[in-house]
Amino acid sequence: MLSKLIKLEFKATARTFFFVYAALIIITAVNLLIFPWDSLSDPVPNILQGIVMFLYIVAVIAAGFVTAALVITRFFRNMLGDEGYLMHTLPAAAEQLILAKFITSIVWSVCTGALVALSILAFGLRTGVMSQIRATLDSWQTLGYSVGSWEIGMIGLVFVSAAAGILLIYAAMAIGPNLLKNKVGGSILAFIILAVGAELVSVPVGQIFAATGTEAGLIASILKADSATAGAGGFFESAAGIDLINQSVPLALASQYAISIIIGVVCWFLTRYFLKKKLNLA
Amino acid sequence: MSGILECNGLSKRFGYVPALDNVTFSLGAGRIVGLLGPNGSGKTTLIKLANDLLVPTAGTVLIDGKPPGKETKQVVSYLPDRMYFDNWMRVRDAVGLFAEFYEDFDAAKAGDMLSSLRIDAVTPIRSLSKGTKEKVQLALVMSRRAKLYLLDEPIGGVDPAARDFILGTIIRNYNEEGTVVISTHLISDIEKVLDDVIFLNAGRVERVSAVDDIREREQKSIDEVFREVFKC
Repeated sequence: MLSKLIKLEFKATARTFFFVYAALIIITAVNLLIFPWDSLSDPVPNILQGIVMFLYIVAVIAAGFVTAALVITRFFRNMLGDEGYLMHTLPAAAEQLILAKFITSIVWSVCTGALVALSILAFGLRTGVMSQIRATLDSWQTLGYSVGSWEIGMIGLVFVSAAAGILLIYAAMAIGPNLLKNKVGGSILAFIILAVGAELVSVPVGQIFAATGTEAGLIASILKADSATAGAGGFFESAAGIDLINQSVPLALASQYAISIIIGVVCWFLTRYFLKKKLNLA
Repeated sequence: MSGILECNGLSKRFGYVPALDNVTFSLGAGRIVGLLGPNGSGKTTLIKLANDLLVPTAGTVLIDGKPPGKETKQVVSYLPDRMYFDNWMRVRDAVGLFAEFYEDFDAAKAGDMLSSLRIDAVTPIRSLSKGTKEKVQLALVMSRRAKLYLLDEPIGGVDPAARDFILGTIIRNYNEEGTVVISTHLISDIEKVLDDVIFLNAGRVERVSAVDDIREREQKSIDEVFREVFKC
């Protein structure tokens, strides 16, 4: 049943994404072909180049906007609007309905993110900015920083945070009609309440991780080292500093993972509860 | 033996407003039942409760002995009082959706009904008129061999010719071992096809009876009895 629901979701949304992605790919390609990268310092850029660059920026923003808009409208109309009369009477559990929408939203969000990242990467490679960034990261790696694991951790965190964000939006929409007669207004109100709640969750969780003393020790050491070791390679190049940062970054990442996972799990159960027990399509 | 649709002390309140109050009845299999009552009497609420679109405040509703849920949705064919197809769909997508999700769906029957209505499968649903969309929806709902058909106002807001078509479609296509519940306040159009009636008034059951019993006992049509019961 879940696979059938996911198939239905992709069928309903694929056309929109096909056009957005096609537009982004074409504009990126045109931009890469015609932009004269050796004259970046030219104060009077060619009008055509300006237009193409403008279109590129619009396409990148549109890709992100369409993805976010479709995540929201698809759930709202399909689960809480008239289309809900069909969706909620299909022989499927509420969890399957939510999961199908969630998985589809995650897949599209990852695709959009990957496409935008690849597009920017292509520009970066063309201009040499990427090789400069890579060289900086490599020099950190040489000093002893665990740059590789940070990169993986950051990419994972973006993914987990996006998932938590989607579930928070779903929960807001599921709760919204129970707060106000106007479903949109109720959903916005629920979103604000949940966002404040998420902030309240993040403070104690952050404190648990900070309580290890590592983060506080790091800040104190940096402040001390700035004055004490200035001009001698500095704190960031000392063995103690590198060790401390190598310990602190995973902790900071872990605290952010924990916060996102807690928010995601709570929002999942809220969405499930309100769709099962408090559904009112009227 | 349990009925196909059973309500026991079923109540639903929206805030402080009661929509259904202590509703109790049981419907057997193979009947065509009119769920009759004026606007706001609780007909739609009752049908939504049976479809798991609302949760009761008190009491129970059972479909074939089970509370509304995933299992009962396999045996209930529901026609809501509004259009529920997504805008991106063509008629063939809607047929495909029913074929994919409902094991009791007869695609050939749906195809025949749509052909008789001269509706092309590739037509986008959004381009159809309101009346044609309703007919497409009805054709799909009636192409299932369901145990229980719950039809909410299928003839509301359509012209007399369309009413005849809709009632004809229901009578010709329902699973005769199943039960059809038709909610409406347009009694005269529908009474000729009914076996039983349930009169709902302000969320309460006023009467549950076989149509023949009413006619024999009171020597009146259902429409006349309805007008007496719901006299303003």
